[in-house]
Amino acid sequence: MNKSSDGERSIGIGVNRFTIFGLVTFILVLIATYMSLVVAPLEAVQGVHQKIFYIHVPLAFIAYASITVVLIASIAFLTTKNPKWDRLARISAEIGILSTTIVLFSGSLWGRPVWGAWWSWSDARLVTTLVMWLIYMGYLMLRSLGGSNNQTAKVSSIIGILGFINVPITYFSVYLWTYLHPLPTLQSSTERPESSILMPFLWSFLAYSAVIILIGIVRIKIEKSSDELETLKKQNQIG
Amino acid sequence: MSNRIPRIDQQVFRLFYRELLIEFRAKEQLTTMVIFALTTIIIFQFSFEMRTGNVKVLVPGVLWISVFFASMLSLNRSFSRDQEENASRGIVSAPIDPLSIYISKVLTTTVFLCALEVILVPIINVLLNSPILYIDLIPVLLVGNIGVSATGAIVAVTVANTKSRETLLPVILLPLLLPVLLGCITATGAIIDGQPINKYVHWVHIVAIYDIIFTFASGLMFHFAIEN
Amino acid sequence: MILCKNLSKEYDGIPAVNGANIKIQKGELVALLGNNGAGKTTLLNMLAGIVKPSSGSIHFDSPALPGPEIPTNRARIGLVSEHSFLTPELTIKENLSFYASLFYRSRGQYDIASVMDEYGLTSRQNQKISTLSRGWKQRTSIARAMLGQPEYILLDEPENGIDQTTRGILGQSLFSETAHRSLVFATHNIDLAIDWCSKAIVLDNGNLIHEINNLSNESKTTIMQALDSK
Repeated sequence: MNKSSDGERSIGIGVNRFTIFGLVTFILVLIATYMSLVVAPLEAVQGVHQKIFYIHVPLAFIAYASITVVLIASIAFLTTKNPKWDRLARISAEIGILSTTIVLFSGSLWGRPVWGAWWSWSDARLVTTLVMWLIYMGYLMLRSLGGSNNQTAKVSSIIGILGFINVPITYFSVYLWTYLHPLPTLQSSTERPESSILMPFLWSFLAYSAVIILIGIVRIKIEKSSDELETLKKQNQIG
Repeated sequence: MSNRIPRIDQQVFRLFYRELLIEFRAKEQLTTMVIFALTTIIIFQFSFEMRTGNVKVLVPGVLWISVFFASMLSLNRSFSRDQEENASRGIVSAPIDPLSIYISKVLTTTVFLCALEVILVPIINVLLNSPILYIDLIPVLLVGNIGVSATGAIVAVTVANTKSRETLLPVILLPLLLPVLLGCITATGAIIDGQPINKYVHWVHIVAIYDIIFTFASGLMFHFAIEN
Repeated sequence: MILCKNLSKEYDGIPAVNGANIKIQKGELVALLGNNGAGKTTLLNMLAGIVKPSSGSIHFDSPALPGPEIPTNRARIGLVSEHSFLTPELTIKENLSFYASLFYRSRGQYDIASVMDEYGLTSRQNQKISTLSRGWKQRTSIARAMLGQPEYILLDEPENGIDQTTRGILGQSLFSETAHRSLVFATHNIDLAIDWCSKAIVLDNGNLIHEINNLSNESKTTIMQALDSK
């Protein structure tokens, strides 16, 4: 049962590709933090609070990328029935809800000193992100409360696809709504990044993507072993 | 042989006819939907009258929340009923296209929601003392009902075999229906406020587009959901 | 003719049916035997198109043609299982009319009254299914299965609800047009199987362990041995 490939032999013991990747990720996070906090210029209006942008935006990209991966994996699973796609979808969704939660929290933390409020219904992206969080939540609940594995995988794929289609429509609807019903003006959250902001941003993006991928790899390995164990258990019960 | 079996439109209608017949016999779904909606209205009246003194502003929200929850009552009942005596399996084993099952469910739920609104809208008019009987409301109600039914039908069948399907249905359905609810509530509010049609017609278009996209996507995927 | 090629179905990695290769000729009456959990119901459900195989395939008429995946082929099957497939809130007549409407394009192509007559249901036609006993539900379910004039009749352990009269009616219906109707009869009742069928297939834990052509009373010992030894 024990397949030995470099990464699977152990997690954290000895020097293999996985540990090197982990180390590199750690260094990237250090660089990114340094760049964001120290090197990046202090923004004129918002001051130090603006620096949360360096976490908020990369993670927003990751959150939206995750739901795209869920879409692709769902379609792939429905067409090929290969369980590895289902596993990918599941893990993407977990990563998705993690990153979306961070986005929402960091958005709130950013908003409070800048807008004077913890939340703003007039920011279409924030509202859409909240809706996306709810979609992830429903998706994960469906998975955990699902019946047999194959059936759960199929229905989760369907919800994953519908969830993805929903996001742009929701964004458009909310954007149109806020556009037509302007609430008291709040700080605009779109800024064109200058180069001095761009560099720390890119580092942060790279660093947090690496962190997320790391988490993803660990999860995949755990899930794979867990799935294999489940299958073996069941086979032993009836043998 | 393929001349013998019913065409898709015939399949849809015959499945739909069965649902109507059951409802006519049991009188269960429509009654519970109406009672549920009425209770919602009363709760809204009491909880908000004190705070705003003007419950009329809440009418669009009250209407569409009632529709949303009523749709789930209807869908839950419809699917769980089909599991008695395994009637759903019997239908699947017949020479019909799974797509017909989906369309008939959407059609049934839409019709039930329309029936609910025929009763509910005048009641809101009276109980909340708020004029709402506008003919312009009809297209809004229609596209909204179709949207709720189209997404509701596929989500209901996907959760049908899970452990807590009654809890899962609203949790998954609500975020997916956000564009529909947002659009319909806004349009309803605009109509009640007497705004000109060009101020809200785009919402009807958006919800209609949602309806088309989601019905199409759900129709494509439905057979995966009922496969065993 | 129905041909099953390497037909398998697994639930969560546990095989219910494992690589079954079965051929059912036109007009053949086949008994499907096996202990509980052997996979008889799963096999019948796959033949009826209710359950999709995990691997392998089913073909009607020729190895190159599809099986119950396509609606036209499902029109040729009549399945009777432990569930009646009936709608409790509706009457016998309404249930039969509904199912007939799913099998035929126009009203003129079927005659509910004569089917109800054949199965002795006419006097109870306006009774709701929820008020019927198991026996009458089963009888209605059999009538429902026969509505489409199926070439392939699949019976899944119907003995629970079948009384002598129903058995007689069913037997008549089966044998009146044997040249055209095939039967796959899953049962625990070996005597009835030998009575009706000319061929027997024995399943165990999803595997086809025995196939007996020319079924006769002598075969009974072989069958009992096959079932007991596991």
